[in-house]
Amino acid sequence: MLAGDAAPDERALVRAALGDRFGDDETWHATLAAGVIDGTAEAPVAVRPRSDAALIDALADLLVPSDAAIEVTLARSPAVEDGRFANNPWLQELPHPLTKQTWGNAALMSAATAERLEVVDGQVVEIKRGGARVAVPALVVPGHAEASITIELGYGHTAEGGPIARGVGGNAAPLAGAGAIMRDAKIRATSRRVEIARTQLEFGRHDREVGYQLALADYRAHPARLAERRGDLPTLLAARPPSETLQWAMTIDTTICTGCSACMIACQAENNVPVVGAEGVRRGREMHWLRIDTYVEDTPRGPEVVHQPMLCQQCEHAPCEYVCPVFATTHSPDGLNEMTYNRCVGTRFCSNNCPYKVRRFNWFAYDKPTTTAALQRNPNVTVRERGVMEKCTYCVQRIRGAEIRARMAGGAIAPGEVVTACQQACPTRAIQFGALQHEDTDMVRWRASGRTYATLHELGTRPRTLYLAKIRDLDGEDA
Amino acid sequence: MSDPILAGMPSEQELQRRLLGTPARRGGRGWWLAFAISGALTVVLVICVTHTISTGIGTWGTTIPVGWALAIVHFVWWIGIGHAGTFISAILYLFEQRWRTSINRFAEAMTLFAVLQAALFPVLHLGRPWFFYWLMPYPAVMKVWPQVRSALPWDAAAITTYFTVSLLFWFMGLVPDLASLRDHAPTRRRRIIYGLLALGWRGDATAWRHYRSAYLVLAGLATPLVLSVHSIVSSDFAIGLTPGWHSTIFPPFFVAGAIFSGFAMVLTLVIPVRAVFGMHDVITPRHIDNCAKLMLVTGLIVNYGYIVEMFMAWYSADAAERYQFFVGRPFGPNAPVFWTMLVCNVGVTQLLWLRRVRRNVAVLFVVALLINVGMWCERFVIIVMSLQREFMPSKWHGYTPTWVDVGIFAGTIGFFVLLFLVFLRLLPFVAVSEMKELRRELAHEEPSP
Repeated sequence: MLAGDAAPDERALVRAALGDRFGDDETWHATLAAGVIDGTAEAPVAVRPRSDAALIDALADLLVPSDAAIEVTLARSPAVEDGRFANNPWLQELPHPLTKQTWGNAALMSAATAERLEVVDGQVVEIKRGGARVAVPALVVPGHAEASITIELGYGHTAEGGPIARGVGGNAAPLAGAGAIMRDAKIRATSRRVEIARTQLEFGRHDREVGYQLALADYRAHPARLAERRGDLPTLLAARPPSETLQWAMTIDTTICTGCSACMIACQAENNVPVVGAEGVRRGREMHWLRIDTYVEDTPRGPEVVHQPMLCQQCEHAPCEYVCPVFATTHSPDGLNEMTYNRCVGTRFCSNNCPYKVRRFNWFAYDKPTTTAALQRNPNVTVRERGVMEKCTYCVQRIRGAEIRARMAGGAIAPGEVVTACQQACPTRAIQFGALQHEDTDMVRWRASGRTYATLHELGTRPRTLYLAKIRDLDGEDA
Repeated sequence: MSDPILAGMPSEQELQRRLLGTPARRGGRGWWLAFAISGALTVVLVICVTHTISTGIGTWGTTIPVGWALAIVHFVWWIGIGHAGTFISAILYLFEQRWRTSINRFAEAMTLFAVLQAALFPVLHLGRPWFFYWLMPYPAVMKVWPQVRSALPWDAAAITTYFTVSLLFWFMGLVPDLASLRDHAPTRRRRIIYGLLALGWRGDATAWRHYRSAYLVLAGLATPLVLSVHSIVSSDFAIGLTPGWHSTIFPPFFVAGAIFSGFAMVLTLVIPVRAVFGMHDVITPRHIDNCAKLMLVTGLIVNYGYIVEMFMAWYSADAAERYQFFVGRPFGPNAPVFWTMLVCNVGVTQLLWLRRVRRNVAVLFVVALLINVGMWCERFVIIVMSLQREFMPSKWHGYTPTWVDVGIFAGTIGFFVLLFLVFLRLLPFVAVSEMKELRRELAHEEPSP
């Protein structure tokens, strides 16, 4: 045939294009299964953090005085990059790590700059430079540089961006000239107000037993400061007898959590978690089984942030269980708080009684099948119908899978064999999961640390998920 | 004992003619206008309910953290209103308060219709309302019974019991009057209908003797229900952890609030009906005054509840409790509702100390309306505002209702009025036989000159 093979074999085409890098069929299949090409890893580089006080002071001198002309900086979005992922609804609904904004961008600025411009959160700011113009809502970020506005790129797509990306946020790219910092932009506050779709509205701790931060010097002087925030509370109830089955638990180190939110997307992909759109987020109806709570604390060096990944705490004394009228949420012998979707009638009493607010409700029929959504779904996880409650399961499908494999092999589940989706995606390994009986794992070892605490410990819910407080090391903070 | 409970001592025939005559009266223009408005609102209710069931509970303003909102507010509000009826007919009967006679029928009907409205909400607010019966202990093939540590199955049991007993009590009281209606029915059709409902009542002495004991037994059964129903409704909140819910004062606090709002609703209805039907001699200033006094007493108990709640929040030294009562409610989202509650339930209630206010029906009508508003606000404050500010600051979120929320509430008010209007036309709204009996007793005590 003149035009070549009319029906080429796709696999053969791919193999031909890649050349002989994979050798025989066996290596090819092994590579596909593993997802990485053997022997292509970069050599590890030895790095050492440099503490250069002189450099830090020199940088401090560069700080712009707060009455200087306001500059505009363009930055890449932590969710949609430069816009290449803007048509992905998961990433559109991924909260910004610091502002918790979803579905769009904003003019980020410090409180003093907002006061200077006489704008409040949500008030639309118009920025002009040359012939370009962008209008986005103002949003105050604690710790933002003074006399400066940051706008993230990747939003404000037209039709070519795709049906999801179209019209979400404002496109700041045309403002850019040479360099990303602009001092000659015209900034004007408009009278228009919009409600920014954010998943968190309050960033203070309000003396609650959440998001602890400790100064390093303070922690060294008082290593038992958090001792009262973990362990057993006085009770009249008999202790549960020790269980023979493996008891699942999770430990999360907030010192090494960077708030990158990869865990949220991993969880969404693994557990068929739907997307609700900007209006849903405004109403507080986002479905993320795992979210990242961010708390800001004032220090002599400015605001310091702690990120606390928050998911079902799998309480041993779960407040959700005793209020469910129909046995839809119950406790499993291996320490999981389980949802039986078929039994749920949707009273939402469990959510009202969950102090951690990690339960999610199907307000509408989010499970309506669309072709792409159906193709994406994880077949091992039930898709939830309208009107039922759902929440983090500690990836129970992976636990049960490991149990089946162990039973078939006639052995036991090995330490570290079950990995949750969030743990798998965490680039800093801040999330550790496993069985309490597997004592030689980080998950169990971490629980004995002096900076371990149970969130809202005082309520006596005995959460299986424990956190390690963030330790900060700032100049000028002594015990 | 200043005012009479039956003014002017009308003759028995006079009472019979006027009180029993109300169902036979033709509806005037005002009645039809009210009927049309309430009927239209009932249609709104049907539309909103259909929309909710077909689209999902997401059409409401409920969210996380505010998982319960206006539906539960209205549930508690309507159930509370229903309390005065049984209080008047059962508790006051046992205490031999004779002034109850002319308003008990009326209040019982109000109870039934209010409980009907209330019962709509717990079903509608479910994510899957078609499975509401899973909260009832019925012999299910799945062999899963309700989880009885949760307060919701108690609630389902309490409300169905309350409705059943209230209905029986109301119907029982109606039987002699239905027999009278049968005997005086102008048309054959009415004679048959009223005759069937009268259950063959002939009014002989044996029947009356049995009737009296049965009525007393039912009153005895209904009395604990007045206290238990709202106690159980309050458990829906009190057994929870939420700051603002987790409180041992809730059962008595809720019962007092229920009777408070119930009497406010009795006055809201009785003052216009008394004027329209010219029943000033049967429903005398004494009745109105007594209702107002009961409102004052229960209102003061409610005010005491507010003080105790706030004191305990401060005394507990718990950050979440203190924030809830001293920052979240007075200054947080929807704070105007909190202040309206204080103005109506604490401020306006104190007006009832004044005899002049209790005797002035126009002012009292406004006071009763404001107390209805205040008690609605109280339920909103307890339910919605507590959930807005819970333990995790990261999940603090406000609440805004949608048009469906508002439509359903307006619809239940319309449906309530509609049922009431139909009741006024079909049945005597003052217990005729009891009034005649009361007249005899009064005549016996102080023979008329």
